[in-house]
Amino acid sequence: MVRKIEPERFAQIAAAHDEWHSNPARVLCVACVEVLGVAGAGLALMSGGRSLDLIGVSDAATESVEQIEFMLDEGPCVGAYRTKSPVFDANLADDGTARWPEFRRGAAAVGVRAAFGFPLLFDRICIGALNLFHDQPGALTDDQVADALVVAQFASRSVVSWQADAPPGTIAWQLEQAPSRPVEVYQATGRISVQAGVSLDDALVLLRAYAFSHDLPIKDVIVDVAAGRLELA
Amino acid sequence: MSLAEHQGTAELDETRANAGVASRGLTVRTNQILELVTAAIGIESSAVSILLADRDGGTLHERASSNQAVRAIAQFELQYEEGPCVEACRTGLAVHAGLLHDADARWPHFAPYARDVGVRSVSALPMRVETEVIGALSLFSAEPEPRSPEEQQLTQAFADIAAIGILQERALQEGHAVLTQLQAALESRIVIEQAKGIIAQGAKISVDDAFTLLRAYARNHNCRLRQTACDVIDGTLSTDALTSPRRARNVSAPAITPARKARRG
Repeated sequence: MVRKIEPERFAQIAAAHDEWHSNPARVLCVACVEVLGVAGAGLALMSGGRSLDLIGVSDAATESVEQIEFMLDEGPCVGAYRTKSPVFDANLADDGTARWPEFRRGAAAVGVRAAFGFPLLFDRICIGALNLFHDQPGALTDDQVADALVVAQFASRSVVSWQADAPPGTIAWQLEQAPSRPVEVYQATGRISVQAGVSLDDALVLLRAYAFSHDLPIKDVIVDVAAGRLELA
Repeated sequence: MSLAEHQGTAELDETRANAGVASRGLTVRTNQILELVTAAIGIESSAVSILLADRDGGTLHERASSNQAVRAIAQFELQYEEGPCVEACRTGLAVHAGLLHDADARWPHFAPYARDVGVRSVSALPMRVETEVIGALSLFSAEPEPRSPEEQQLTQAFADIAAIGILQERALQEGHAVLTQLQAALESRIVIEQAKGIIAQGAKISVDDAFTLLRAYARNHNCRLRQTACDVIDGTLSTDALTSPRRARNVSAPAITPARKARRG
């Protein structure tokens, strides 16, 4: 018989954290890690087929992996968003596929061995994903899956409730507390589109190709291009 | 797909199915309530109507009725602001009354009218969630006998269920509106950041200085920041135009590169 945490209980755990009043999205991730016993958790908002905002991460290793997902739109949380279903990879190093090359490179670099994405749903629409990461390969247990579904629903409701209280036309402050908002990728593609005379979509392709062929972490390339220190053409 | 993924998907499907039921609309839900109440009370000569208050708890309007005759009765009450449904909404208390005796003092317009169309007794149950009364569910019967206590309780229970369903529906609608706003704000941010990169590269300045130019242009031309950013991205607005604020828009300026026009955010 699968047990799952009650939303009220999860709410209590979250509210007991000091940071609940300054960075509640991060607390949701930290509480998720505590309840499920995984190594890391992240929350991202997505729309129109792409990532919009990384709103919370439990720790630095998760942050680096989530940034790759966010910047390049690849990885389990993107998969979960697109299919509106959980997307699991219990063994990133060796799952028999060639999917998510940059994500897996970044995950390996920080010791993330398994990743599990759960869609954040409101009514029938998907607004983003909850990502779980583990430092050992292996599937989630049934209890962990059940708990993750509760946390994902709790996170969806929290996002709606926070934004409902935000002044019109603004983004809720609770959604702007992630340590580094990776807007640099948009700035970088803007710069590259002018440098190389290409579309913004193609600029992203050039950026990935550059990082890959020079064996550089994609985040470093993005930051340098955005700052004007590196030109790709 | 792994077993755990299947389980997760099955639970999600269930959640989605429930959400689908909820969002199929108030009309389905309230019609179901009408049918259930009529079936439960078990008297063919009864008809049911649901009145609903607007979101701000202000104006009442007729939401659903089991037939045209009872819809007309409900609308009569609203027009005269008098009658059992209106009273239940206003007071938050159940109303159970026969119309053959003593009703004219209470409802001088409604009682004679209702008798004329064949109604002999009424019950109106407030639809209440915690302290808020959002409307009333009413039963109009050709039988003069009042509803038994069991029937009264049962009808109140249906009114309570209808109230919860309506509030859930409203919460969903409000949530959708909120999410649409959020999406628009986040997508604006993307195009603004892309435009900053384009301007920074074209004018050989930092992205922060590029933002200053973008914002100044938008302000001086009374445009929304997002629209200005979109114009930069699709090539309508050149970086030159931004760095020479006195030059009017749409004056032909050499594009940075021919490919600029093809750029799409």
